[in-house]
Amino acid sequence: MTKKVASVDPYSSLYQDLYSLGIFDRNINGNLHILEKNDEHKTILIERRYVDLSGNLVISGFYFIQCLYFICETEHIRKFRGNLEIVVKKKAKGNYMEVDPIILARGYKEDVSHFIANYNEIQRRKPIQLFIFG
Amino acid sequence: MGSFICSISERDWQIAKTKGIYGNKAGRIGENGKYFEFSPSVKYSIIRDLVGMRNGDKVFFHVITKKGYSRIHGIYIVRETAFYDLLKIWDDDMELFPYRFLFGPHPNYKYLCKRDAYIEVIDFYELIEQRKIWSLATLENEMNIEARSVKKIEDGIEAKEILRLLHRDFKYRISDSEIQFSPISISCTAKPLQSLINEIGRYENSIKALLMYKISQNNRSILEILGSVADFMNEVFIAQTTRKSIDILCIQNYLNNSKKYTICEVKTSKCEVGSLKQLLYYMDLFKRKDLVDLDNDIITGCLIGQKFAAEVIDFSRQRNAQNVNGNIILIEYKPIQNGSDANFRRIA
Repeated sequence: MTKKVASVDPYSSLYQDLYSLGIFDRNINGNLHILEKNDEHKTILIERRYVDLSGNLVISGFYFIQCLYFICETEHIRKFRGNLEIVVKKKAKGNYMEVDPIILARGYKEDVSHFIANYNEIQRRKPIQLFIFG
Repeated sequence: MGSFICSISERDWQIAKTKGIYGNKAGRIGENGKYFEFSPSVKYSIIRDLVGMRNGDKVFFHVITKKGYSRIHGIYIVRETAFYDLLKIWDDDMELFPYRFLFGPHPNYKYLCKRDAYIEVIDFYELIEQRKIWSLATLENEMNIEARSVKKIEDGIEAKEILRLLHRDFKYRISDSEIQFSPISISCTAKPLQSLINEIGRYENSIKALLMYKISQNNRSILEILGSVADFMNEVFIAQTTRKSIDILCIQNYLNNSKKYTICEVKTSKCEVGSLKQLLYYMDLFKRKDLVDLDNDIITGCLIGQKFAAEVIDFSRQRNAQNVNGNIILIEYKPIQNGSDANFRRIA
């Protein structure tokens, strides 16, 4: 379920170049635009845009990313889900299908991996993607 | 208090409105012209729709006409809650309409009832289009929707909107003559409708009927789990286009004028992961309704069944421990008294 990214500082890497970790597809006819970032909590909110048939940039959704420089535990997931809920309310009028959640951490406790696997299976929402770095 | 819309034919409305009695049919006439009683499941669905009624609840009548647009008449209140009686009231050779309740003009709006005020059903459908009525998809019988004559609607905005239209059109949509009310009383042969609830654990509509009755009676075993309920309704449309409906929706007053909406899904026997998936999806869909204040309202999910898959309990407990807007409540029920009642226990 988890994928590995080659970086020791993913937050900085992403901020400098969103495509640097290979998480996002460069081949999309559009671009990514950082809307918000929080250096303390290491979160980044990205707007995903594509070029429509008239040549205009149109929003196709959002990425909400958090980088955890430690092993991810249940409490971190609780906070992440709370922040995700705020983003979904603010940016997507409560529609979870509009926001792709991503976590990058040094590792995940077993109960966290188990919960996320169930969450992704049971909730009809965008799955929470888990990455490991370092 | 609650609000209802009850469908009735134009012929039967003439007797109903003067005597103040409504009856739901107990069967249908087959292609061979013979009368068939409804199956137990349909019978319990009729009880389910009526048994949550309380004295003083508001009632509108959807009068189905043979010519022109059907009409919504009102506003009345319940003066005797639902009962079962075979005493002949209407002029029908085969049908006695035994699932009944008594009603009278709403004391604040007697002038509307006296002139049999109505709106046309297309005006009602405009309210649905405008999302001012959100608990129903239509009043018509449709392929993918269970045929129901009695529908509970939201008591606040929805009932008020219909009442507003009745006043808007009052000058033009009234009867030529005044109605002479001669309300009848309940007969000594009548049985309270809740006494007909049986076979709990066998039919989904039977346990739903019991829940509707218990919620209407502020039953302690249910309210200790769900909390105090301000309004409740069954078969509420969550997604108009796909015709998906919530089994029971409870609306509760929450902090600082906000609301708590509890979406209940009821299963006859075991709640599998699919039931939980459906409930969680309905919770997410409900959040997107215009009436929900995303910043302040709470959406809670409730699964009711006799058993639960281990994964359902496991995920619900983990999710609840995180306490991110809206818990999952799991209620286990056990039929008692030969299936005429049930015990309820919260397990998550």
